[in-house]
Amino acid sequence: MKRFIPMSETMFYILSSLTEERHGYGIMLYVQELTNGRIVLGAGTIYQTLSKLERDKLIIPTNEINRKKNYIISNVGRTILIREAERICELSLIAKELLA
Amino acid sequence: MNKKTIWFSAFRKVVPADFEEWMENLAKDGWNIDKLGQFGAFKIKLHKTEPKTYRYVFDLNVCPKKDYKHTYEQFGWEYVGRMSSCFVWRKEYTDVRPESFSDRESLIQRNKRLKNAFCVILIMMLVPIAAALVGGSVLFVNGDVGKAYALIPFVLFFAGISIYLSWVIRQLNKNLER
Repeated sequence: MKRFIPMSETMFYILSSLTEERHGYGIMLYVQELTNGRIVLGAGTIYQTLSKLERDKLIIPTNEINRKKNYIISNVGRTILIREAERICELSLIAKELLA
Repeated sequence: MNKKTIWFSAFRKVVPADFEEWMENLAKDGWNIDKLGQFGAFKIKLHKTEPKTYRYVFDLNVCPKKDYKHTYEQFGWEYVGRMSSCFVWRKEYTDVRPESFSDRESLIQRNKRLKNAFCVILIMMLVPIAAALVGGSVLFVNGDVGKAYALIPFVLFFAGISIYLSWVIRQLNKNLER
């Protein structure tokens, strides 16, 4: 688990987008919408990150429709994502206190 | 002149970002490629077209998965070809230059993959040099000087390649974030 925390922003967004079943291009659209266009993930980044997440069993391939491979987060992936979310919340709290 | 051939381009433009920029500048000047073959590192054939604004991407992938090509195609990238395990993609654009490796981490990973591949090749080159040096020393000690000297061209050949590979690795290391 320590290997994934802290997580890169890209990995965090990709992993959190897979709480629902999605394919590579769908992930890019979802993250673009979620971040109001701030983050536009590229094909190489998505392919590389999905390969790594699949290899480490944080996500599971579900099916392939029209050559589009869908993925969903695994139980291990969800646990790591929650830990990372908690870490970010803690950071956010400290940051807010600094600004107060 | 509607056609031109460029030799050993990938051996000179060893940093992916340099190779991409070089291809993009050629496209701006109206020199384009239809298909990049396995031997594209040695020889690239270009033909004259109208100037194009392309974004080229160089991506080393030794064991691409089944969905590798499709992922790129879904994002609108055109497959230009592959030189050994190096895939080359391009996308025409008008406004913002598109990125395939959109964050620092994945860009570094892309460049590290290439650097690691060259490190493996370098080690493969150093093994015969070491073997020849050991063998040569044994021959020399045993008084077979002629045979020992016969190994010199062999060592020089592999040493030359190793020096070039070391230079490539240094260039890649200096440009990991590009």
